[in-house]
Amino acid sequence: MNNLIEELKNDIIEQLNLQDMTPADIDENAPLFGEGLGLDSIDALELIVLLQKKYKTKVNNADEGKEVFKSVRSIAEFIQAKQTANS
Amino acid sequence: MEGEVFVSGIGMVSAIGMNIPETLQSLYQSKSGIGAISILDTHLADTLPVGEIKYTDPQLKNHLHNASSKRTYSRTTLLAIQAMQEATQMAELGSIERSRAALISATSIGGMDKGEIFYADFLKNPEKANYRYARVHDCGSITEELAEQAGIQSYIATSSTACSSAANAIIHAIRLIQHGIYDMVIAGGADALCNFTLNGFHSLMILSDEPCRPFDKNRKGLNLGEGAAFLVLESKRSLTKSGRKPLCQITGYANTCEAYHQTASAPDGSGAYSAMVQALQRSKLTPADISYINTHGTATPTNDLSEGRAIEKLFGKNAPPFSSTKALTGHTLAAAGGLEAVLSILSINHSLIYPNLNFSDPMDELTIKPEVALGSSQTIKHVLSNSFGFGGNNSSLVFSRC
Amino acid sequence: MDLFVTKYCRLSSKGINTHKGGVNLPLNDMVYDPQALYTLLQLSYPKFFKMDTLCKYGILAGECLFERNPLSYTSSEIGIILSGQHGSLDTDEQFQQTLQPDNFFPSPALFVYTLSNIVMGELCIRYKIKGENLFTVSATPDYDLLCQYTTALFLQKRINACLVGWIDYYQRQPDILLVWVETTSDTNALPFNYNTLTSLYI
Repeated sequence: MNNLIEELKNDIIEQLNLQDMTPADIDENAPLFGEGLGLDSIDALELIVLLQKKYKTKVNNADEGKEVFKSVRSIAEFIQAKQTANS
Repeated sequence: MEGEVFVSGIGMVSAIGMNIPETLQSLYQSKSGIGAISILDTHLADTLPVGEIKYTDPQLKNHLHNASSKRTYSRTTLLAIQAMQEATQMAELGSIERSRAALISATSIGGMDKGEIFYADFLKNPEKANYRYARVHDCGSITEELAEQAGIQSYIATSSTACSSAANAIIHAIRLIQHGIYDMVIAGGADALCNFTLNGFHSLMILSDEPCRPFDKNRKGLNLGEGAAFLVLESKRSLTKSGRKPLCQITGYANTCEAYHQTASAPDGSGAYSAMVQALQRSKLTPADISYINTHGTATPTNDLSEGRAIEKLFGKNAPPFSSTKALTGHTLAAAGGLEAVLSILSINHSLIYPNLNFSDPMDELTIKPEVALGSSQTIKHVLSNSFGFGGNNSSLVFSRC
Repeated sequence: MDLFVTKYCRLSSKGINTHKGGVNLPLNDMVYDPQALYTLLQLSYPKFFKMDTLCKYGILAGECLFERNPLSYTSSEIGIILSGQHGSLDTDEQFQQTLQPDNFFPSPALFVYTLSNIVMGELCIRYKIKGENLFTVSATPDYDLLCQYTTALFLQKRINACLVGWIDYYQRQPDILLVWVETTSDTNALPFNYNTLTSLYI
């Protein structure tokens, strides 16, 4: 789980062009949107592409996305749950 | 200096009809053109309903007068020629009149429907790709083809401001006439379905997997569509000279820049509000004068909320009848403002208020509700038509009975 | 009506020049790296990093021009009249790359920048410009058209200030001239006309 969280932090920084940020700057329990990293709706859509491309995990709609993208931890949990279900 | 502007011819092709008579028939039957994809080659065919015109490119070409059999046309161009020919024939424009007219044509994808086929083939093997497809790729190629078809020899321009493109083409035309630069302008827009836009809008997750439900609480997004629509606009002087009877007058227009977000509209509806207010001011009408509003009404969560709020702010709780016709035609992007201009004019000429299909539950945030049944009893004096584009480019037009 | 260019920025493969003089670039090829320019100019606009390259260059030129000074006009009295050759073609191509059958992941962040006038939209958002706007596409700068159109807007009293220029980017080559047009002059102001624009564009 912790490895996945670290990997996700790196992925998010790269995919969303979060300049001058390191994985250590991201709190895996903090909200990603709004207050947190200041991400917007287009970032959420790019995260959906990231999950599909790299983790073969599909987020079906914006509402599901809202739950999944609460924090880095919730994304990791979502990926793990999907991977367990598929294995 | 600012003279009156009249419309003397209209033409339209969309999923609800290849011409004005077919379109009217669909309107009277409230028949939607939204359905499964069967012409466009895409992996999304079974996933996303669209407003597709059920003719292949060769069939569309056969439909046209004087289309050259040897020439390569983009699908967008074929649709544009069809609609423009209908408009110029309705106005009975002779070749001399056409040669003196200006032409403003709108598109967002241009000939991308052919460009993307060329590009895929080119990447596989540059020698096997059809370079005639590449030649018709750019947005301006449609306007140039239309000018050649109509024999227009003077001023031509292409307008591309996303979903407000055709409305802006019409505004451009109005200004050319009002400033006395041209007495007659043909203006409108066209967009065909293609994979670039279908996948792009799909990646934004704003396409509905069921027929769209504008202004409904449970709306899930938009259905893309394809089509073209053109208007012949004339000055008073030109009408007097030809003795033509106008279909309507265009009394108001406005285009505003919202400066809020690349794609989303300001949630309070300020951009939509200022476009409607300025269009009304220019027409010297009050909100109470408007008989019907043909909304932008894409059925995305954000558009319908901000547009609905703007309508409430401007018209109060007693807004005039309003509806979105996108549940009939789909969202035809750059052509939408043209299609809806034609529908607004038909509304005035045939006393029609169009139903907002698929509406059942009102939005929590609004007290106003769209019309759900076809209205055909009251006199329609003034119609307000909205077209809002990505980038916060908002346009409103006012069409008036004459 | 007398109109003046009170500020300008020329950004091209040759470097950056403004009304205050040339911007010293520590590395020769730095102009090809918008990220590095952002750091060099000590800008603070996080949204920059989300943009496509055309918009990044548009913002960089805008920041060189305005130097973080707030614009002393209300939003609706500022016009923006721009022109370019390629529009969003560079990003159109990148988006098309995400539609390849063997690697099919359409990018929403790229798709939203596939509009030829999107750089104007980003400049409007950054500098709160809500007045008259126009973005034209032509093979080469048509400074006659830009001057006449802008002057007509001032004469009709639709605007009191205007951001005018040429913004083009394609295949790593930025080519930008932005000028700030006002009715009042200071000692360094240039007359706003075809000759000034063509001489600044060189």
